[in-house]
Amino acid sequence: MITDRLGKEWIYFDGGLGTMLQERGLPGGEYPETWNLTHPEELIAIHKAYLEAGCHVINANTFGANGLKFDNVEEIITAGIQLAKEAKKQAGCMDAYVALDIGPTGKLLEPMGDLPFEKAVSYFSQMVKAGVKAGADLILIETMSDTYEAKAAVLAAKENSSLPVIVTMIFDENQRLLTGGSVESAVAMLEGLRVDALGINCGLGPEQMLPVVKRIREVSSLPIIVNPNAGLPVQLNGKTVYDLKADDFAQAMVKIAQIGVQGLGGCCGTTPEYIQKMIEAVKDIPCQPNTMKEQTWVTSYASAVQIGKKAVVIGERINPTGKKRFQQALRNKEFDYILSQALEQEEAGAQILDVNVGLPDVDEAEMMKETVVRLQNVCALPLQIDTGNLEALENALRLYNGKPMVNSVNGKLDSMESVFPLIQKYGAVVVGLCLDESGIPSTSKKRLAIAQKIVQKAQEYGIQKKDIVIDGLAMTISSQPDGALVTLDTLQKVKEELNVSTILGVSNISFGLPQREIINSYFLSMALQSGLSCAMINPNNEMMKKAFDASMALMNQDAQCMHYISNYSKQVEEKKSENPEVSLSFAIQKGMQDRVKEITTSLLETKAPLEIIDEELIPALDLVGKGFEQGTVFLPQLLMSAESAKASFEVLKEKMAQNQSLSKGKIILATVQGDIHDIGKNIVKVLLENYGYEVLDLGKDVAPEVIVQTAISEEVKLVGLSALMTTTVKSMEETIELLHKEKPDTFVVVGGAVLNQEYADQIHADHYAKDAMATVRYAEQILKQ
Amino acid sequence: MIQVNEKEVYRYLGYRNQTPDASILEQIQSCMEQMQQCTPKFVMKEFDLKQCGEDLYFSSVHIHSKDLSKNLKGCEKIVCLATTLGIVPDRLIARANIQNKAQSVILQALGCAMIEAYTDQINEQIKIDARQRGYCCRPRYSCGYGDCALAHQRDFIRILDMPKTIGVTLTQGDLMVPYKSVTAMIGLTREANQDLAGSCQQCEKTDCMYRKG
Repeated sequence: MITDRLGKEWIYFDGGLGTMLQERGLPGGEYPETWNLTHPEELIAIHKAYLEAGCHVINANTFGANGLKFDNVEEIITAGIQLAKEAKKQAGCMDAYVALDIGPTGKLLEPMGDLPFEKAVSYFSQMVKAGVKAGADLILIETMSDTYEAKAAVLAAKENSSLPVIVTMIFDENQRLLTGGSVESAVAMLEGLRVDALGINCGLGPEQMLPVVKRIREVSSLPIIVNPNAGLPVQLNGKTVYDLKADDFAQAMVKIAQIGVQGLGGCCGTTPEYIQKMIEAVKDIPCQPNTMKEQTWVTSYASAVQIGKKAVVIGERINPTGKKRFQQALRNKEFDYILSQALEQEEAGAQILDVNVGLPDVDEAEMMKETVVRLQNVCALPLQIDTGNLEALENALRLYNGKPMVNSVNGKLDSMESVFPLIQKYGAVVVGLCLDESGIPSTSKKRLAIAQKIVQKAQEYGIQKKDIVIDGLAMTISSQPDGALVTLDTLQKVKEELNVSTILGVSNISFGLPQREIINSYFLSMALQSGLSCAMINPNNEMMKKAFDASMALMNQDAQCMHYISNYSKQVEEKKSENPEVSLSFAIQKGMQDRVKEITTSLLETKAPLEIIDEELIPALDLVGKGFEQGTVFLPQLLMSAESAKASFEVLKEKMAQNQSLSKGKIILATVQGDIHDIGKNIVKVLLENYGYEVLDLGKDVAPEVIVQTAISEEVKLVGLSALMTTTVKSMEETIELLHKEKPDTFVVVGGAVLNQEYADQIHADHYAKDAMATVRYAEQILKQ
Repeated sequence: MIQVNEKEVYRYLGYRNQTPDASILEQIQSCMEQMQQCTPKFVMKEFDLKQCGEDLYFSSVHIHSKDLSKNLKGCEKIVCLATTLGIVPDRLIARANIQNKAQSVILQALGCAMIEAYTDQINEQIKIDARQRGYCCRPRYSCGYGDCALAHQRDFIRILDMPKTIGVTLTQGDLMVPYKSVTAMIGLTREANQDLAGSCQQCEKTDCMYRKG
């Protein structure tokens, strides 16, 4: 096995394959993998040349042989692997390894693109199965510019084979992936998924790769593979060539070798000559295994948070416990509300977000899946998956882009035996609660013993100590007088005796007491001083935020108090320039969202919610709406007003009795199948909501059947469809046809950049709305009671 | 850095010839700052072009289009260009859609203005390079214009290897992701340019709210 040698001696990978094929006549734009069937002798010759140059690993010609490009995946992959094996035989290098080479699909995954994650996994699985059957020795997943797609490929590899898996990503000179990922985020995720080696290929030449490789070496504990291009591309007579000659390449690779990597090879533009000269130049440098890094990383697709170095804030607000409005949002699938809670916490300084969507009457496994994907679409913070539902946990771990935190496992055997296998498979930093079959111990000594038990048991699953964070459990002092002291002592012991990071859900400490934030904020400071690594708090609570920031400054964890100064010096100034008294209507017209909330709250002291809506909100909206129709108010202003009105409605909703509904009727909105542009639809949505309609937002790229089914099951009388491209108007027409057939009493209003009255008539829409206000007017006409 | 003409942003926002009020201008400024995180990238390749009536042939591509043939009449070479602002605008817009819808339309408009400005910059380099070799450039033309089928985006993806080179991919419906991306064909001709007018004047959609002039 290659894994027996990796890290103990230099392992050489081959160089460019596409380059060699093009030299031999592969036309630009043709898939190279077709040559496995049409030009087998050329491939054998190339592989042989690389083996003769001294390579240990040759990549079969299977990079793009996926089901999105080919109908005969198995045939092409089988041929590709067999040709590489034949070359091994002919070259007399029977100890060389043949890699099943897997490149990206060329599609972007959902939610940014339209390839579902599981679909990507299945395309890669098809490749892996064929490669295993044909006798590949390892799987090399390469040229990945998206951590999410890399994860799909690794899962496919692990779930369909026991072969070693190596992943190399494509970073740019800013040490970023094309999709925004960093070295830390990619390395942490791949290590969590337990690949056998990782590294970088393509995109850059060896010189430009140096800083990236250094960073990988600082973060990763795994063997590192580096396969650069032959320098940077330059256009010469309409052809792409690379600017390094073989000798220069070899010299640059010496510098890479000296950083302490374990595998070396080439990518675009490199040939057997490059590889041979590289081997000649590095072979006498001693190969050192990589070192173990004791860093704890929690990552998202783009950002990486290190735990244990400095205390971090975990936002606790995505949680329905005790929050009526949040519970309602979960039941109604109001994801915009849930997402807004995330973004508010991010802006308030949270570094990780806890995500808990468990409610007795909600399908938590499904809800968790959708929430995690949607959160990762808009928020770059890493997430902490908070659930006791194993199905929900696995769903989230599987679909998560990065290395998340998991909240939680505890000292009970069945908890550890059910949670640890999932952590082992997907990778995560896991929170261990200091409780077990006999409950929550009342002494710190016993809590420490449980922590110890958790750490030990985790090791059986290969989960390292650095990936465990112990929750010392804050118990309310109103029922347990020494609760805080025991917790603080546990924090210290866990840190000193176990050398493991800690976490606390801080606010539990004050349960049952008045003005809880007083107790909470002081307790937070004490906990931080006792060595707390992760503070789970509401970062939007002023006092908690202040306690955290002040503690950081006092504990020398805020260099030159810069964070403190930047946050608190301007606050005083802002307060001075407060706006003079204005009416709700004026504030809405001007889009002053914060003022709107304040005024609505104070109006509620004297007026009923419905009165405020009828007397203030609707007239203000009408003024702005009419201005828009007359061309004196423009779209951004209209939306600012709409958002302000929405903020006012949010305040009112919280005051209104649960059964009291504002809804003037349900309307479905969707961007039709094949179209992914949803800005127009989103604008229409906020305006319709302002005017009191309940909008069922089905999103973008929505199949006609889904729209029709929803219209039937929810008894919806009006459907709004949006399309941006002429090509997707066709899909709009199909949706209208199906709606008119299956639910003839439903009206359809259409809009979008390419549409006009004539087009709308052609596709038999009931109405064409030229803008968002026109849709509101049509809704008023159709849904008039 | 990409220089954006602010008037273009106002035009995309529907302001025609007016200037937005102070609070909107402030938001536009804030959006501009956020958009500085963009990582613009481009890729291009030049090919020999063969024309037979309304059929065009280059690399392994065949396009049948009356409108594009008219644009490329007399051209012996064609430059295929793809540009993108990267994934940042998509993320910012998705985020603004939750937090601040006014910003989402501003980011959208700004993104349009930025990708056009960036593509203009690259186009200018292509013109200079062509001039040095004795060629004139035709105005750039994109798939989906006139009768040139959007499905030819797939040819661009293939011949420019866009997912790998600049991170641009296609959806099932042949739309590009990241959103703020442009593909274009630029014809090179030995004939002096008849100075074809810019895209708005060529366009048949005369009732467009964004139309210039």
